[in-house]
Amino acid sequence: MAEKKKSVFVDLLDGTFSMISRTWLTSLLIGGVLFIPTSFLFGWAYGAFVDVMVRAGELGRGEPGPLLAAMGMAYLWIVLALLAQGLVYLFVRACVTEHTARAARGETADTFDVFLSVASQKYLKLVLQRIIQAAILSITLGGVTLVVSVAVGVAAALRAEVAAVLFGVILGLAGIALLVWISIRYAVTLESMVVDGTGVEQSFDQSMALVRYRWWRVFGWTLLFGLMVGFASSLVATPIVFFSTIRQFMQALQELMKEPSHAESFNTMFLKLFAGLSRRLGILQYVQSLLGVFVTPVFMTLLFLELKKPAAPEKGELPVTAPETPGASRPEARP
Amino acid sequence: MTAQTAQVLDGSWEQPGRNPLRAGIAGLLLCGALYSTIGAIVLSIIAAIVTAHDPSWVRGTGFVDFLLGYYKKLQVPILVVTAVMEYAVFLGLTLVLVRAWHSSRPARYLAYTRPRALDLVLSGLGAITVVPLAELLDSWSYYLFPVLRQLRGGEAALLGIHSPGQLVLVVFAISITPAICEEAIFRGWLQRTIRRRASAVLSIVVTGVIFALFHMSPLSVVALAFVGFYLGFLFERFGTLFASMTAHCLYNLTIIGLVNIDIPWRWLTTSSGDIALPTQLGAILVFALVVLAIMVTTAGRAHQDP
Repeated sequence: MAEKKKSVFVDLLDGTFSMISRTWLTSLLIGGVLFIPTSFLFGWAYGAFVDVMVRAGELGRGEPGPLLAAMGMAYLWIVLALLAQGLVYLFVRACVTEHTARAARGETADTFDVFLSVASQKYLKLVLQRIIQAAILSITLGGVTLVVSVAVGVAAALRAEVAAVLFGVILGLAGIALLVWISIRYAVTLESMVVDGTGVEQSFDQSMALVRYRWWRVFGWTLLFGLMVGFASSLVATPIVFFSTIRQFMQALQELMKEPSHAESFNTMFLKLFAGLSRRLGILQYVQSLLGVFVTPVFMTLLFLELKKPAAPEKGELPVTAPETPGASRPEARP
Repeated sequence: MTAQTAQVLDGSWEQPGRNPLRAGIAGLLLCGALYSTIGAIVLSIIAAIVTAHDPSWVRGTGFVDFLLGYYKKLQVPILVVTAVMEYAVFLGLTLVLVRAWHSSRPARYLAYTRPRALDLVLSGLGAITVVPLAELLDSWSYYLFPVLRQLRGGEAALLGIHSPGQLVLVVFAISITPAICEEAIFRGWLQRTIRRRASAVLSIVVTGVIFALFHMSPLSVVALAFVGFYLGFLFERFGTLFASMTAHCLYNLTIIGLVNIDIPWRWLTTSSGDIALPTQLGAILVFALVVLAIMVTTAGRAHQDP
């Protein structure tokens, strides 16, 4: 029987399923505890924002000051909630990544050890690295937006509407492609820092080098995996979301069925119905965050270890080894 | 597992140390993700083009008008895109992945084996009696939320047949296509693969629940799971995909018939168009007899592994 060609994606998927049976406790304990306050802060912040929007008419009567202050505070709380959620997600993801890497090296990994290791040695560097990465992507996005705006503006000023639309579409798509290209090149920066203990700068170098000649493969694998995780999450979340908001949903339908002259505007109706749902929003956010940290960090860690493996040589070709990164330790990369 | 079976299991996920059950789950998620993502993108583009070309249908007087307008205007694209995606992903990709991951003989793995005529007759008869039962399981939502009755027009508009062309399209896209494609991925691949590592009951229940969740229709999840259990039961007992395909096809065909045909016998339906309780009770009785007949006729047959 001829042996089938080995599929790396199958290896990664199988390895992920297999590894989850060893890392689930870390995901559940660390994520399960840390996501509680941030998810409820998130739900509360959105609930408060909807409440302000419902009272907008009342607050806006007379002076605009109280309305602006209330909306400013609501936005501030949303930003704070998103920030807290992001920081906690980064921490939990780093812990699961650390656990996966240790298990892949054949070491015994204890949830508490993993927690301490990430908290004491790696977390602050990771936060700094994420800030720099976000800044690079934001600057790129800003640059792309500026170029597109200038090109479209010039074409519009010259009354060349068709050219303006074409410029907008082509440059916009090129900008999106550039952002995707950079994001994929930086796909394993977190894994580089957690698994190999690289510094901030080296993590960018190592990720760029590892992805360099395998960009399309990494793009395809991460895209397919992302779609699968998103679909699995929606399978679980859709019934939860639906049944937790069923009364509001049916009231909204009832309102929509009315004759237009008797119906409130959709925005007003929506805001009224969904005001006071902060606790449920928090629960939904909690479930979704927790589901996310079970699989994604494991898959990305195994992908990182896979990228570090020497490439199999073609006939008559010398084996190619993964590029060395200064300051990186060399763990046994076998899941 | 027999020696003959072992020869067929030569895919990349059948290598020692690998659990083929994971392939079933991964493949299902991959197919589901591609089906929903690509289908949604293509339908959104078509809806945008159709609306740009003729925006009159959007200017309805209310939500129900809007819904009816949407399904009437986009009936053909929705049915065509759904059918194409089902064949491409649920059948085509399933065959490719089963061939790569499990067996170089995917048709055999998916149990496309020759059925007996009696098996198909019993499967189809049972499927027709499942329709009133599924409606009974669905009825709780109408009792709790009567507003949902007004949305039934949307289903009627999507399944509505007013010309021979529509008849062919609706029957092909709603009855034949899901029977061929969804049975391949759910019963042929997922249930068959789970069955290799688990009991018959577990494989039927898990596949039926996933089948229901896949339809992304939370209010009908109980009824859909029940339909899924029946299809899984047929696959398990008869060991051929053609039995569940026949049942799936006839189940959907009955629904199309109920939407499009004015039933002249008043005792069969209520004034609001629901299936009457005596009919539902009669269906339960016939369904029980069909299940009993299936159990009896398959009692002596050996379970067929892929």
